[in-house]
Amino acid sequence: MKIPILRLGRILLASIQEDLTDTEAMQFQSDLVNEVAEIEALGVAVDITALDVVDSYMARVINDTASMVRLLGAEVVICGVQPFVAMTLIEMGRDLIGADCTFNLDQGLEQLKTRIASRGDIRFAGDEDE
Amino acid sequence: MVDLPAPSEECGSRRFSIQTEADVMAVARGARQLAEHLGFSQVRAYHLATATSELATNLAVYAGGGMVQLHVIEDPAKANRIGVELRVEDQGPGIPDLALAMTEGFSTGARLGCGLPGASRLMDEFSIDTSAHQGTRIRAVKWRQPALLPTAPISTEAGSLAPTRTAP
Ligand SMILES: Nc1ncnc2c1ncn2[C@@H]1O[C@H](COP(=O)(O)OP(=O)(O)OP(=O)(O)O)[C@@H](O)[C@H]1O
Ligand SMILES: [Mg+2]
Repeated sequence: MKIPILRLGRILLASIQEDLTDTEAMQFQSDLVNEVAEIEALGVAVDITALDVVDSYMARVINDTASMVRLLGAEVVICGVQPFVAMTLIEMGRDLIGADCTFNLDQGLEQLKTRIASRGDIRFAGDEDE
Repeated sequence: MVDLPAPSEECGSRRFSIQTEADVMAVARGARQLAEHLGFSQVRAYHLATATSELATNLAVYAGGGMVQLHVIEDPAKANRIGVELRVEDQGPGIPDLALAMTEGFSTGARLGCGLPGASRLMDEFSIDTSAHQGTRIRAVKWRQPALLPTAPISTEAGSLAPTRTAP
């Protein structure tokens, strides 16, 4: 399953709908990293609302993805982490998800904008549509 | 009192064959739906589903496949206390050093190594029987409600961060 990556100005949005196999995860990570580089993205929101379960394997995929994005200098936020998911992840292992998480996509985008703004990057315009 | 679905064998048991990691999602989803159907709180249903996913993944990764079974069970000691029993069995190589495998961060597969320890924390009961000849059998139970909070319904919103795990 290919994960569509949407572009909102210089923010990228990817929604993971299903558990990814190793190959799919690598494909997704390379697609995302290429896209970040290509548009010089300032932020990436990864939405995991639709996942049935975030187990340690998916947590690792999400973390690896987040680190790659950060290495390219973009901010990253994981959206759709509902309270019961967060509670389970804490029980599983304290640092299972190292990236910042938000409950829904709106909050995630807000957080990205705030963080990007605090970096002082004036090129970012949140409502810009291309 | 809540009306419980009769924990009969037909509606109360589901078997899943796991061969590859692609088979894992169906059993995790099945576990979650079963638990929610039985009136588990969202958190407790999610605990069960996550543990199921971890153990099923291990079947695919380390044991060349195996079986996962979900049974609805009733506590013989306590009327009206129901739970889901998870049985995970394989004929793989077994786990040579169980204590080590249960240690946080230990993995022979360059993974996070939190599947077994995490699953054991997420479940109310957890036991492993493993040998090189017979493979690995895991039995775990998640009760609908934690033992120490008797009849009060548990909030399904994750508003309370009170620990819900119970002593065995
Ligand atoms: N069914 C099994 N058969 C044989 N060995 C197993 C089995 N399940 C687990 N193991 C062994 O126990 C180790 C620990 O398992 P655990 O699930 O805790 O971690 P992991 O699978 O390596 O990483 P993670 O679950 O975090 O992705 C594994 O690396 C493997 O060596
Ligand atoms: Mg594992």
